[in-house]
Amino acid sequence: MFKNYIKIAFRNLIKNKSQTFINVGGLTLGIICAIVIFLIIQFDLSFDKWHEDPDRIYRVVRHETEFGKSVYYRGGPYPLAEAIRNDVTGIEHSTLVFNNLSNEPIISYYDNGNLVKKLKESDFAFVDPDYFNIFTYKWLSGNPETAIKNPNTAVVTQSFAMKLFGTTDVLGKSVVFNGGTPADIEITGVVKDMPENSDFPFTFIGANSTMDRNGETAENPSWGSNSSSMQTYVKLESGITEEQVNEQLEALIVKYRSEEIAAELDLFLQPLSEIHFDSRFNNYNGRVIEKNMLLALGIIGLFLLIAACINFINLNTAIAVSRSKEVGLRKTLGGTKSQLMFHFFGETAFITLIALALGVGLSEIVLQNISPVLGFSPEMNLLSNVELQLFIISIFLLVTLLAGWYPAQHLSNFNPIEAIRNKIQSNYGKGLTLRRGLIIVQFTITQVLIICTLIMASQIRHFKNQDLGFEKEAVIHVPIQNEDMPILNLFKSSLLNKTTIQNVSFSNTGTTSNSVWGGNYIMIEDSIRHENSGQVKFIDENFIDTYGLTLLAGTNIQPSDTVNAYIVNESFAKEVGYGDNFSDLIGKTTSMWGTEAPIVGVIKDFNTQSLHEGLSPVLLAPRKSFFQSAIKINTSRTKEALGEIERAFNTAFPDLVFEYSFLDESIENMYEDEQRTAKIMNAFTLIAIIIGSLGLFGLVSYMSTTRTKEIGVRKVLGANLLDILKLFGTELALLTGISFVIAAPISWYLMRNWLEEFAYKIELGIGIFLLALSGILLISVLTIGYKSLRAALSNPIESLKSE
Amino acid sequence: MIQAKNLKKVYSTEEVETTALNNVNIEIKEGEFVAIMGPSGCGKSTLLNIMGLLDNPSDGEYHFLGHDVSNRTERERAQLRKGNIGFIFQSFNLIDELTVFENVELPLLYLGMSADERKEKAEAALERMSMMHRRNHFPQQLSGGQQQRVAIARAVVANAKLILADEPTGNLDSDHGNEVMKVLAELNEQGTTIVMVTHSPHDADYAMRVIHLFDGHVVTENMQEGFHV
Repeated sequence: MFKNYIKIAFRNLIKNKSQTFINVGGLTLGIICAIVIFLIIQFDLSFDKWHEDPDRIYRVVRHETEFGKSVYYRGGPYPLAEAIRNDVTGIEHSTLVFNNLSNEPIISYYDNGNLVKKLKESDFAFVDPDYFNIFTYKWLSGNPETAIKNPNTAVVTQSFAMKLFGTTDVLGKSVVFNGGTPADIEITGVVKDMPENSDFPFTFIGANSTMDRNGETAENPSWGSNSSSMQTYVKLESGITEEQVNEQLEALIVKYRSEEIAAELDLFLQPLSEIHFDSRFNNYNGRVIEKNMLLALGIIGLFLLIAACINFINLNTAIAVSRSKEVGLRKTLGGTKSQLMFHFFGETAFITLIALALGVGLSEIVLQNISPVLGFSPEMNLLSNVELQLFIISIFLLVTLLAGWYPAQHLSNFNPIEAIRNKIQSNYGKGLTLRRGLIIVQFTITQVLIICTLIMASQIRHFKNQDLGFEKEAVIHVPIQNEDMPILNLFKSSLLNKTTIQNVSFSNTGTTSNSVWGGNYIMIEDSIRHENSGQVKFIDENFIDTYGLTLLAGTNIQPSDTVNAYIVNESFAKEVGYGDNFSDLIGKTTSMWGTEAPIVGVIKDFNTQSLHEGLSPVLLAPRKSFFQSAIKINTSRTKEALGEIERAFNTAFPDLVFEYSFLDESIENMYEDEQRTAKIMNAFTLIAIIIGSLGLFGLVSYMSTTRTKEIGVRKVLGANLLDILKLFGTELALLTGISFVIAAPISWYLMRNWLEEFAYKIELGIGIFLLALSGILLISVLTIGYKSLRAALSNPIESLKSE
Repeated sequence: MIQAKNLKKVYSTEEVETTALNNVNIEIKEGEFVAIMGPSGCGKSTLLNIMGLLDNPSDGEYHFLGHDVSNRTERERAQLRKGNIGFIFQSFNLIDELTVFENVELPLLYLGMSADERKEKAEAALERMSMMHRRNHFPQQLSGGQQQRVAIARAVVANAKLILADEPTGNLDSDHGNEVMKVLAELNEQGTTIVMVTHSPHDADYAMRVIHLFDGHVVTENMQEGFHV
């Protein structure tokens, strides 16, 4: 019997080609979205699950109350891992992971004193030997127990070995880390690359006990110095709870620092399973995704699938009328209601299967092209991914039930006598029919997506157009790692000789950076003590000119190797109670990191971080602590300028690798997450619109055929083109209006929460909502326009004759 | 086989009540060939629908094969209908998407027969109607007479005891109409009970008995002598 169902289903598909296209096309789109979203969620949920005993692995993180504000940090003090080993019970292993983020090192391979190859590698870490007892690696060579027991040893991944040495047979070979004296680091192990779903993507893992050179290791006995480049990981003994350890961590602060500090500082364990999801802390992978975001993504996927099912239900109940004769006959010939239900379910199942097959195939293609947008590449592995198989089966059952139930119910309920005589009328009734309700649901989903997408786009545009307080155009950043002033000066003067270069400045971080240097500044005046957190930038005398900053009062700094003056910003002046009286602040004394010096100038506020963050007090000071050169060029000769910079760089720093970035592009990249989200949302919105339009098109084409006679009669009775178009348009406008009323507050609520993240945000005005409404109206009109116009323009004689 | 006592059928809408059948008493024995005649709107089709268990009477009793089926649910009626009653319509009512063979096979499918059994019976029915050579054609590819022969094959394929024919020649020219009537008469000879609604006195001549309806009443019942074979 099932064969018969399939057969007739297949013939129906062939017969109603446009309907098949809409059903299968819409469902396929919905299924592609569902599968791709499923794989993204599955990928994100799979991070670092394969380590042995993952539920016993933790990172020690820090919470501080700073001037009444709660702040979370992932880094801790250098001696913490060692102290945990000595003083805390219940710990099986602990390790410091040191990875200096502001300083991308160069690793060079010399053979018999000749440079073979050098690489700039940001995914490096220096760790304690216990690191390999906490995290699970697949070893290709070397001994995990002893590999990094001794100083100047390192373990590398397979792909790193291939990149630097051209082979994985590298045990005993040595590399030079960050130039300097050739105190070689010996390669003592090769491990397989970490899979893509790991937040520990290190390729070069060195022993922490390695001699300090150029700051690449962290030997620092201070408990007061914290940095996100020093993180502590532990593995608890089995049966030990987080709380048991957290209590002891509190005692450590009291022991090594003081009771007062312990009152404002907490150290606590963060489970490995949270590292990928807790946005209060970052991770080495650089991508943290809140579980809420995954949930939102899942809901979008479900909604798109529902939207596709709605097309199916609407179209199939609409055309049910034309199958009434078949239903009547089948009943007359002995078909029971349940047999007919089963029959129609079978047809839905068949269409769903076709859409699933297409969806799975096309998802594979989508996945291959989506990684530039996502920043990672989830894989399908249909044959081995059992969860995906179950998911696909669930989609099949869900879609078949969701899309098949109502049409099957509706069709099999037909009275056989009326059905045979074609007396079943299309139930295009008045009031809120199921079909209208479903269209409203579908329109609401689409409108929420459209409004959210528009708001995101407008927020990103807002970021791009915001005045940052300096000139971001035509500035090239070139990282430098050299504190030898004569060489730096040589580099600078060789650049300034060129007509393509306007200015050159050295500083620690440039104007705007993800790397923030800061601490508490103190200013004492008339026995009033101002203390607050601020940022510090170490600059040279060309900084203000190169970036086009505006000096509001006082003078620029003079060249100096150590801090002997401060330039502060407007926010600083306000914080210390000077408001707009900038010149009164000149000559006053302030201190940062214990260095007291006079304030010599006040500059206009500028944004030192992405616009997620607001302005904060900034102190600029001369000090030879330079990691970055900023070069202002003549934009009409960019290519020539870049060539000259590279030549000057290679002459001045033969051991370094030349790299550059444009400041405006780096700033734009700070909104990569938002741009990525916006791109994904764009895609989903487009798909929702296509699914919605397909459904609408199907319904209107059906309506125009079933109402041909009505239209003919109306025209004969004197209706004009507009009257006929109104027949189709009025209802659509009403449904769009109702769904807008539902969608607008939902999107407003969602987007208000999203915008909370940004210090600089757009106002949620009515304009953007109206734009979305007109957008969907336009799309609807375009979708139904052709069909309804054709129906309206048809010769009434033709339509009446056909009846 | 069929006993109807005081059958009444009333169709009511919000404003109007229409009585389609009023106190109809009919008895049809096994092996009979009965024609029902009367002007349009006299209640012929309503009577046929009730006899075919497609509808319930509003009042009165209706016995089919000894069962009182006056007030059965749709599901119960469907069960009783299966295999016992075959229908033939004026407009043939074949399913366009199915081939000739598949149309004939359909009632057997709903009886849950195996594929082999279905094939055997459907082919036998088609053979009987001389339609085997068209088994893989679709209804649109056949003439009206051929379509009706397929419809008859479908009506008899499950060995129905009763065949209800609603103006079986109404859409056919006289040659094809005669052909169909001959087939029906043959079926009756072989023992199948036939009840046929018709406007055509010529067709009614094939029946043993003619029942005339007018405004929902049985007006006359004539036994026919010497009908054609």
